[in-house]
Amino acid sequence: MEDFWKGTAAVLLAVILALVLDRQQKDLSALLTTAVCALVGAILVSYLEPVVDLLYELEAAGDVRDNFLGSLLKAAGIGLTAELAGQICADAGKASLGKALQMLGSAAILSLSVPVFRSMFAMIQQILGGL
Amino acid sequence: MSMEIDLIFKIAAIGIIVSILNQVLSRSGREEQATMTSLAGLVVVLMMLAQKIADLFDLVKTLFQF
Repeated sequence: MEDFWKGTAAVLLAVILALVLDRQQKDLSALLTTAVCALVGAILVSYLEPVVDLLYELEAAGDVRDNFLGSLLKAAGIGLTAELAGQICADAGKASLGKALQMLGSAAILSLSVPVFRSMFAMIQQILGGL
Repeated sequence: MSMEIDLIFKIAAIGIIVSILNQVLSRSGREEQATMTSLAGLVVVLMMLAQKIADLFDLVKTLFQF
């Protein structure tokens, strides 16, 4: 949990430094924000590793067919990355770029979920065919 | 983790130094050199950041099984 406190302190420090840089060097302020977001993202990933391992154990225990968990995890990763990067763009004053990135993330998630929906429809057809 | 915190301080220090140099050069009438200084600072910070962002994306790809 030490990383959490260090990350929080780094973010608060970065807020003050970014405000100072904002007055004269908006570009470097945006880069500082990006650097701190990357740092916090790395801490976040390190905390999520045991959670993902647990999900895989549960998937193995539940004997779930196909790679649904993999698709879900990819969707979660895309969502988190797109959201964070989109907010960085918005902070830098480029809201249109941030929005475009979030829409790209949504489209990528939709494209990932197509096999899941196909499997679901096939299952429904199987169930209805058996009735 | 301490290396990452150092990075924040380095970026902030470069930003402040570039800002001061920018002001000094602008007020002495050397606008082109002020612009070049800003660009140089931007490039230096970008080079420091590029590897960190690449490392983050690798971490995310590993965790979320891309």
